[in-house]
Amino acid sequence: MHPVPGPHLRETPAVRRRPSAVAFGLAAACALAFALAVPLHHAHPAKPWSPPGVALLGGLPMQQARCEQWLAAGQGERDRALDALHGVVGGPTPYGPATALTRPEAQRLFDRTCSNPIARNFLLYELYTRASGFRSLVEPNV
Amino acid sequence: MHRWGVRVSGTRIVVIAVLLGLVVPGIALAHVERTSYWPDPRPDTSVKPAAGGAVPKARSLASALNRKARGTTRVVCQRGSLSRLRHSIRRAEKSGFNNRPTEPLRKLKKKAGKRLLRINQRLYKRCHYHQIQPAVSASHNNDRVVIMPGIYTEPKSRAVPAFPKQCEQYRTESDHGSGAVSYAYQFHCPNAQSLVAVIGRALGPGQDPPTSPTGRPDPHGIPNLGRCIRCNLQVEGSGVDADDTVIDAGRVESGNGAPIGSKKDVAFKADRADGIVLRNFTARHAAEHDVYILETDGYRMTRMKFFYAGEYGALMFTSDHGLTDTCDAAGNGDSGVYPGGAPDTGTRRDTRFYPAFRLNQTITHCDSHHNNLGYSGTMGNATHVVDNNFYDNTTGIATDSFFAGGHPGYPQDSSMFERNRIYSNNFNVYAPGSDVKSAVPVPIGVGILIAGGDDDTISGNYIYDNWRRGTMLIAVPDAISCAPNPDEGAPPCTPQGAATTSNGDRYYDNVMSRTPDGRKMPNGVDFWWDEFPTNSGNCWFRNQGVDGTTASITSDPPPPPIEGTSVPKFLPEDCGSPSSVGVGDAAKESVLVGCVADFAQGTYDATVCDWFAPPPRPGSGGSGGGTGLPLPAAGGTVTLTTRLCQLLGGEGGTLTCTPFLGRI
Repeated sequence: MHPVPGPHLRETPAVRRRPSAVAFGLAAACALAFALAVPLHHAHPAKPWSPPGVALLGGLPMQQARCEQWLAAGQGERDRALDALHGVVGGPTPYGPATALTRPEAQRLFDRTCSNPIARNFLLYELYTRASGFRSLVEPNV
Repeated sequence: MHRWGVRVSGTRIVVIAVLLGLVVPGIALAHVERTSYWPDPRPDTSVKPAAGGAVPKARSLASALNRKARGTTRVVCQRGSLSRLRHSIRRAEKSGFNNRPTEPLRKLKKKAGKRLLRINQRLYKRCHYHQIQPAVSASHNNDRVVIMPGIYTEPKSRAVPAFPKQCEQYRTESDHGSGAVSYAYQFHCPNAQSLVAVIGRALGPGQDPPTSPTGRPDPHGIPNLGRCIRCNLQVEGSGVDADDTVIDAGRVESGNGAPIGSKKDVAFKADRADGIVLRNFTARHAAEHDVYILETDGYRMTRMKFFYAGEYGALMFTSDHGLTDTCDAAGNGDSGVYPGGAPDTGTRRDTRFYPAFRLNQTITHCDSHHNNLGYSGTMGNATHVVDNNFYDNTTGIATDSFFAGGHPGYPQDSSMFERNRIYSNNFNVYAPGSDVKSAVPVPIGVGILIAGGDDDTISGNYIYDNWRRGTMLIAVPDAISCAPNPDEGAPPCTPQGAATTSNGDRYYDNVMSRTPDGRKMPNGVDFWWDEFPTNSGNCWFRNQGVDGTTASITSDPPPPPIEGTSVPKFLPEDCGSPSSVGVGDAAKESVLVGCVADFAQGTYDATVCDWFAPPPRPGSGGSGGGTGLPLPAAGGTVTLTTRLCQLLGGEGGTLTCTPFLGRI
């Protein structure tokens, strides 16, 4: 894939000649042949490929995942999302790594917050960063 | 000390921390896909004219026809561009046009209309593109892309999957962890995330420095920077106004409204595109940001519109020498405009890199309205926000220092908000059926909120009809930024001080609770300060209240008994006085604790914390900006109940301030 073409490459000019009737007929025939040749199950779009290292929730990357996706997701998907958030939010600060939540903490945070209709569109990472800001105020052994 | 009780000082930290969790604007997480740096502020003289080092000048539309002018012009058009333009010209001649809602309609003169049509007719003859990205990709330094009237959905870009397999090799480790999309990723795969992407520089000749969640290089200067390949690019619509040329990243049928139906994360991205000029078009319906300018030195946006993005209408991240002049931003789920992670060119600058104090980005003549936030500025350092209108947002302006990895420039400082009109920010974004989807919880009814900012100036603004509070100033204790990490083996962090944020902020010459034409439209409370202990140098002076006098200012804490003085427990007016120091206020903390509990529990019970319910109009009998909750127990302590502790901790644990004892 080379989507930054060299400057000499140009798209087809916007002002084009109209296709001839013969060309139109050929195109139609090709389209018909293609349609007949394609197996029926290909009529449905294939599931989009997603990279193994990227957490998705409801098909959305974490920067777009909201409570709506959390509520609809399965536990496996949720776990991957929580791991991703842990990695992303716990970035460096002038003092050291930022605080992140443990998986159970984050799970409870989203379960509780997302159950309220008002939070339906809140971004998960926004909720997560807020909670992690005071995460260390929790005594882990109590 | 009681196990479940803590001293006020400790409680205060907890409360403020959680408060920040409620109100701060968007923390950029994944839109900083890679570790970001501030560009070298000096001009890049390897291209002529030099790129960066200043706000670039815009070239006139007519000059695009001059074949002798520097750079090549590429014209993008649609079959109906000229007819769309003719219709627009007729409308502008007959009914008038404006660039933003508060601008009076002005009619296009016949002569000007004819000239604009002639220019476009000649441009049309030179049109070789009907999608924007190919024209951008073909461009070099100093070139131009003129987009004739039409709605551009960029089918080829839309067809690029969000995660092309071929691009995975360009993911890298960043301060956010593994899997970050590197600059090389954007270079090779510009349309994986963006509908239109301007990739301004080649890949660097060397290797990017290692960066990871446990450390990152100094943010001053972009390492391994490549040469300019599309610097000084100008991209513009050729219509009467920004409505004529539209870049739509989502559902076209929604017009400039909802539902957004996004197909791409970003509608228009400029990445390391020093000297870029964007003019006279609309971007809308991106899942994240309509316009996203990243690591760019020198940009100008003029006569632009940003509608209904999932997060930001315009995000300018770690960019310098920027000007956003005349814009309209509405319907955005986080904020209308966001100069985030802005260079630290203010009072906390590194003088080796930024020798002189400088405001690095200006936003002016913009209407930001009907958004979750009108303006947000996490680490929005040394920005100049002047002569704008922020209205009908849930909160008008919020700038903060609530720190998460990836935002260089902590703490936020040195921004100047002057001569703006900040009014009627009472939009209930949480209401059922709201056309704007709130991406982040913010309080309804606040004009301008500083949550951890130093040396900010709020001057000469009209701030009125914000039913909860006109302004709020809240501290962010340093401890919040370096709270102990739960991971084993994580290096310890040590806060630099107790409260190095929310010091030295000045509010003066503002007109509160009154419109520019003198009508009384009160705020819930004009000025609200949390009085965080040790915060110093904040002052409020020469402001006018609802009847045009200083005496009519409403504030919490109240104005001092003697005008011009600073007295503990009163709103400081003498900036230099040693008495201009916060001493804490337990009542406020109790309110904040209530809000925290409300939020953490997810009940949003307006009887406990009304932040998520529309505040009553001041004077209508409601509490307005009052504290609303009873004072805590006498004796100067606030006891955190088990239930509240659990709510605050939120994870089944018990709240304690023990980790901070001896550190604050």
